[in-house]
Parts: sequence; C-alpha cells; structure tokens
Amino acid sequence: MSSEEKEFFRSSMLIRPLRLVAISIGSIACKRLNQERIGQVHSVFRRVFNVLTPENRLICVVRRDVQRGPINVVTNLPQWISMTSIGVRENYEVLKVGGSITVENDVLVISTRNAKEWKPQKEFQADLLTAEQIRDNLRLVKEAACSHGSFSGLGQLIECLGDRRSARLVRGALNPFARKALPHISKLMKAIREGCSPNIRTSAKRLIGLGPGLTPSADDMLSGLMTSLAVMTKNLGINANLASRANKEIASCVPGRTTLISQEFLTLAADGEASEPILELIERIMTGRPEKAEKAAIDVLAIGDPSGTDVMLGILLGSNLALNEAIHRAKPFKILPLL
Amino acid sequence: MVATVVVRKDTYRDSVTLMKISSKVAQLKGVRQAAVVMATPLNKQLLGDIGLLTDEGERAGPTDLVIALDAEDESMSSAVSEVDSLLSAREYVEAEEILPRTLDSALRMMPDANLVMISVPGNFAKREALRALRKGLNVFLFSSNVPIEEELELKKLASEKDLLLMGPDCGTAIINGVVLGFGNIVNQGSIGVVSASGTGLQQISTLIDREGLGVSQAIGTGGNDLSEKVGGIMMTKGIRLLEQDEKTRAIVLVSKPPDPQVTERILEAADCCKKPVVVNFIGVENNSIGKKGFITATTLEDAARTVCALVQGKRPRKTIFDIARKRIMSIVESESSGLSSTQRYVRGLFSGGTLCYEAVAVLAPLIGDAYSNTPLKREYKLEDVNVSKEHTCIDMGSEEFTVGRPHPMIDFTLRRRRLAQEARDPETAVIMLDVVLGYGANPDPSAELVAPIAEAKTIAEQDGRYLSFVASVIGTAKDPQDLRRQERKLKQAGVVVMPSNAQAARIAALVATRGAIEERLFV
Amino acid sequence: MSGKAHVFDKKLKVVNIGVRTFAEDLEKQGVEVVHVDWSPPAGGDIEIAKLLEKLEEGR
Repeated sequence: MSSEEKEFFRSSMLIRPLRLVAISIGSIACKRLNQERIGQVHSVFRRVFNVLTPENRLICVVRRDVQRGPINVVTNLPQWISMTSIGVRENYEVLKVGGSITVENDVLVISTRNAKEWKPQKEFQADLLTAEQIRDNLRLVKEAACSHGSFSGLGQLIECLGDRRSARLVRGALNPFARKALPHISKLMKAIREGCSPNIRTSAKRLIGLGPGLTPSADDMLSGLMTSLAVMTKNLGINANLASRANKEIASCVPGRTTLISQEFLTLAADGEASEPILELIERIMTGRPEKAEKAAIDVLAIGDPSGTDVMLGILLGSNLALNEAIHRAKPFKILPLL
Repeated sequence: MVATVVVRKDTYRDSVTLMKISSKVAQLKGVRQAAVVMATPLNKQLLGDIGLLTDEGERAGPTDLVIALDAEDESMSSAVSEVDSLLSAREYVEAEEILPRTLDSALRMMPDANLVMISVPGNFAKREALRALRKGLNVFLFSSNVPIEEELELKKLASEKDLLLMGPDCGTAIINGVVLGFGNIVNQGSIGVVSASGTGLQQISTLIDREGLGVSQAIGTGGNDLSEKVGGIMMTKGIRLLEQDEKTRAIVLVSKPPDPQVTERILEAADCCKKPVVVNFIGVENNSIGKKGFITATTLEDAARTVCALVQGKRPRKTIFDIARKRIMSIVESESSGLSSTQRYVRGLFSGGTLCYEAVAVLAPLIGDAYSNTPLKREYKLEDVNVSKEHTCIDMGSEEFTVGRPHPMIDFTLRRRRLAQEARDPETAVIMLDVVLGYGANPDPSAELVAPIAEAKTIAEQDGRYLSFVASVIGTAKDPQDLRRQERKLKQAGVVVMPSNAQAARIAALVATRGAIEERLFV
Repeated sequence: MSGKAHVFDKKLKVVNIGVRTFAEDLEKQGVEVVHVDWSPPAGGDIEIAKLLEKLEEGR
C-alpha cells in the first residue's frame, strides 16, 4: 500500500462515518443485499464481520485481503487494519440506504455503486485433462497438504489417504477428533458411492459439528466434499444424482448440530457454492498444469476459516470419488491432451 | 484428575485465535489435557469420551465456546485465570484506539503529536488543556468561558514547560503555515504576528499577503491574555519565540488597549526584542507609547503596512485611503447625493469584535463616539443592544447574539434581520459591514448578502431615501471563497468596497457627513 | 520533551478534541490529525468531573 493510501485510511477513519468501497460482491450476497433492512451484525473478527439477515442467513463483509466468495462483500479496507477496530459491534443495525450499506447509521458506510458482482465460472468441460493427469494433480495436492497443512483437526487424515500402510502408522498418532471421525468418513464415502440415503444421513450425523475451529473441522471437510462433488459431477459427466443426493442428505442433517456460521458454509457448499480459492483449486485439479494445481492447493491451505486443510481433505475425498465414478461408470469423457 | 470447563456464551474467535489459545493452554503448568472447541453436540460427546465434560459444558450450546481442562488440583485456579486472560486479551487494536475517545488513546495512535486543538465547553477546557500540557504538547484552546484563574494556571504551566497555550477564547492562529481554527490562506514569509484578537490577526495577515509579503507564524493568545490577572504571559512568550525563530524578521503585536500595567510589561518585552516590533493597541494614540523606540500603529492596516515596510527596508507611511482623494470624494458625492435630510448616522454590523472596535476608534475623531456593545468609552455602551442609537457599531459575534446560534461569520440570519431593521430607520445613512473569508467562515458570504442588501435599498427607496452600503472583505484570493470574487459580487450589488476595515470606516464617515469632514480627514 | 521552537521547525501533528470541523479543515490542508470523539466526563456532571480532576491531580 502506498503511503498516500495509508494517509487516506489513517485520516478518514478518524471521522465518522468510516467510508469504505465495496470492490466485489458475491452473487448470493447481492440477492441478500436487495432489501432495506439487511440485518444485524452477528460477529466481528480481524478480517471479516458477519451480518445475520432476517432469514437467518449470513453476509460476510471482508477486508481487501480476503478472497471473493458467494456471500462475501469484499471492501477496500487494507490488511493492516483490523475489522475489530473500526467501531463495528455485534447487534448493530445494517441497512441499505441508496447505493450504500450502512452500519448503525454513522459507524460505517460501504458504497456498493461500483462493486462488481462475483459469479464464478464452474463449467470447464472444454479444458479437461486426462484421467491420468487429474490423478497426478490430486497426488500433488495431497503432498502439498502434507507439507503445508495444519493438523489439529480432521486434516490430519490427509496423510492416510490412498496409502493403507501409512494409514496404519499414522492412526496411532491421530488427534482425538480425527480418530473419532475416521470410521464415519469411510462409511460416508461408501454410502455416497452406493447412493444409500439413510447411511449417508447416519454418517453425516456422526460428523457434523465435530472438531476444533470456529467452523468445526468436520464441517469444513464436508464443505470441501460437497463442493467438489457438485462441481466435478457436472464437468466429468457422471450421474448427477450421485452428488445431488449426497449433498441433499448431508445438508438435511445440518440444522441444530453446529454453529450458525458453519451452517451457512455447509448450506452453500451443498449447492456447489464456495469461495474463489476453493473453486479455483477444483478447476485446476481438473484442467490445470501441475504447478498451477499446486499453487492453488497452497492458496486453499492458507485459508483460516473455514480451515483450508480440512476443506482440502474434503476436496480430495470428493475428487477421488468423482474421478473413480467417471472412469468406471460414466460415459467416457473427452480426453484432451495437455497443451 | 480435575476437569473444568470454562464456557463463554456466544463467543466468537476466529480459528487462528482458537488454535493459539489451545496450544498455550495445553502448555500451562500442571495441565494434563485441554480442549478448546465450539460446544456442538458431537464435540460435547467427544469431551465426554476423553473425560473433560462437566455439567457446565453439557449445558453449553453450539454458539458457545468451551475450554475444557484436566489439570492437577494445585494448578487449576491459575490455569483458569490464565485462560481467562487469554480470552480477554486484546490481540487486535480495539475500536477505542482508532476512533479515540481520549487524548491518551489519540496519542497511542500518534505518539509524535505536537499540538492539541481543544474546542470543548469552557467548564471542561482546563482539564483537557492540563492533560495536554502535562504531556508536553502545545495547545490551541478555542473554548471560551474559561474562568480567568484557570487561564492563569494553565498559562503559568505552559510557560514553565516552554509550551504554547493559545487561548482560551482563541479562534485563530497560523503555525507553520497551517491555519488553526478560523483563518485565511496567506503567503508564508518573514513576519511574525502575536495577537490577542482573532479577526485582528485575520485582517493583519491578509493585508500582509496583499502587500506581497508573508507570515512566518501567527500566534493567538486569546482575548484575556492582556488582562490584569493574566498579565500578558502568552504575548510575552510569543515575542520571545519569534525573536528566536530564524524565519521571522519582524514582529507585529495586536490587541485592544490592555491594562496599563500589562502594557508596560509588553512594551518592555518589545523593547528588549532584537527584532523590529510594531505595536498595534487599537485606537491608542501614538504619542503615549511611540517614544520607547519601537513603532506603533493605531489601525490594523497601518500595523500591517508598517511591518511590511520595515521588512523591505522602506519608510513606513500611514494610510488614509489607497485611491486618490478626488476619486474618493466623487464616490462620496454619488453615495450621499441621494440621502434625505433625516439620514445622518453610520450603522456598523460586524462579525469580528476587533473590527467593530477598530471602526469605532477610527470614527471617533471624525464623527464622534459611536454607541456599541463594545464601546471605547463606557458611557457609549448601548442600553438595548437590539436598538441602534445615533452612530452605532455592533459586534454581532458577541455573547448576546451567539448563545445557541452559529457565529455570524458563518450564519448571516441575525445580520440580515438587523440590516432590514436599520434600513427602515430613517436616520440610517450608511450601513457598514465586514465580510470575513477563510476557514470556518461562510462558504459564500457575498452571495448571502446580495439579496438582503437589495431588499434594504428597496425599503429605503420606497421611503424616498437612498441607503449607502460600505464594506471591506477580509481574505485573500487563495481562500476558498476567493477575495476577488467576493469583492466583485458586492460591488455589483452597489456596495462601496474598500481594501480594509479602517478605510471602510473612513469613507462611511465621509458619506454620512456628505463630505463635510473632508478637511479633517485628509490632513 | 520540549515543545516550543520545535513546533516551528517540525511538521504539525495535531490531536483535535471537540468540534469535528476543525479536524476536517486541517485535513484539507494536508495536516496529519487525529480527532477525538469527545464526550464530557462523568456523563456531563460537573461536580463529578471536578472530583475526577482532583483525583487526577492527586496522582
């Protein structure tokens, strides 16, 4: 940030209201912002404050250094200022006044006039890699997670993936959350493959709300799983019911089992909605060169909430499942050589 | 084995924070096991599995944060208080500090601050000013109605600490080229000003600018600095500071005539000063102080021009008018020819107290004493400030008019009303106005005055009278309102615009007397 | 920390307590200013404020 920009923020914050500019607004947030009374401030963190709408859904107002997402309003607040320090407090009224979002009238005003709607591209059949290449990418992504991930939750299970011998070695050293979750994850994946709704639900109920983090670790894993299933199903041309059933059943188990913020992410994921780095990783796995896939993986691992590592576990699980489906059951998909 | 759960209802911390707390807690002395989780049904189950669930934990809900500990008995209470402090730790800068509510928090944001501007109600002013001085900061104290004992106390402290305390009741200053409070954008240069009068400072600085020179520093001392009790502490200090300031080559002092003891003290200081000092105690005759070897000036304009002359090595001259006598008299002729026999008096409506005072002082030898709410002589204090008597000059910025209203420099409502009132009075010959520009003033004063002036002239016309208007604009072309534009607008409205308050007063006297005092004036 | 002549040589850095427009005018002039959102101490109760003052001075 230039020194002039620093001066701008320094001085303009001293006089109420603080005026910010929205740079990008997720398409779902756009819809939720389309009313006079947007809601109330639900919670305030360093890089984001959440707004709870009358329908009990969320909008995330985020700092400049936070990714674009379906419910994110990305503002120009620079990364050296914390959202907790600009005067926004829980329960403050959030209204839409003209072309702006106001928080408690004169605490914060966010102009939305020049904001761009973020609606990500999720169709990339034209650029699909071969099955081999996709598997290679998945391997690279898994390795990236093992090197750069954080393993206080279910993410630790990434090391177990695809390698039975190392899985037995690791199991002894698993944290209590990962240990508790492991059998249910296996059962869940089996139930999804078989299309067995009751079993999907049973396993989901053993996972939703489990684990450390503001959004429980298992929820983050399930978000990654559901998003990757939804997006990959379409692009790999496999049976659409597979993903839609799995996601619908998992989503139906969510209410009452977890925090409100996590509930929001899970509900979005069931519809294939996720933030930009997550969607980008899924795309790169299917269409990108190895170094691009690896870079995308590192970007996801860097996400704090939801936990990037835990989401990654879900993406790896979902991608493996989808790829296997595509190879063994779906009509053959277009095999394009890598340019 | 003791398990205790610390539950924070509806607490939200991001995952990074939770992880930090988690690892710190696990490392605390005597802690065998710890978990930091949101109290979802499955997490509570898990806590139960590992023996960390208590009744309190059981009662928690998904929006609650739970910190469960298994620690040795002796270590438990310290562990719990450590957890407490970890949770309440202000990891991030809190709102209080970015939108500070006190001087202390403001200084945390700006540790190298060097000046505090204070404009809080008078009864709280001392407290804030004291804090600032104690922190070694200079103070600009706009607040008025500060008891004189408090002013003295503050100034003594400021003097001890070698700091500036500009005020109380100081509306204007220019420090390092920055306008504090009200004030005009003027050239930076080598003339230092120390003034107990706000509009006096403005008139002098703008006239210095008009001469093509500039101001190094303009220190406001506040209206009571030269009172008996305070004794001129800040003016004396100001003289000393400007004497030491490299950029300053000459100094002007401005005030209404001070208490005689204080006058002595100030003149001592001026005398000792190595740099040339021009003393402008408005309305005080030359001979009483000129003999001490510094230069005196009776009007603000003369003070400005004298100090400019000194800096340029020229001989100071006194100004009567800038334009030639002949032209002046022809203006007087056209303005007074339409006056009816009843019209005899000058009515001045001022937004600046010192400008009002100066007008009275200028008029006195020409047409006699004017009544005022700030008169030269006690006998001429207006009985009813709302009713003019004979020659009258009103300071509309004084208490009676400004309680509960914005200052007349910004809000012209009362002046407009009084204008109409004077227009209806058959004895009013000339209405005199000051128009002040710059920071804090009305964004377009001439625009505000054009209609009321036209209306007033019409009221008089319908009564068979001609009403004359005279004004001076205090400002520069650099001011947002733009001096030249303001003067032009007023001239277009039929106002006689003079380059200074003193000249405006003189021409008003000429018009009211239909030129009878010409000889007396052009001596 | 001494003030005085140092103010004349240095860049002005101002803390503004009270009327907001003064801070705004300083900003227009490119001056670094921190505005304090002042409210009377002790909820405006003069008696209590004076007591607070006495306490502070006792320090």
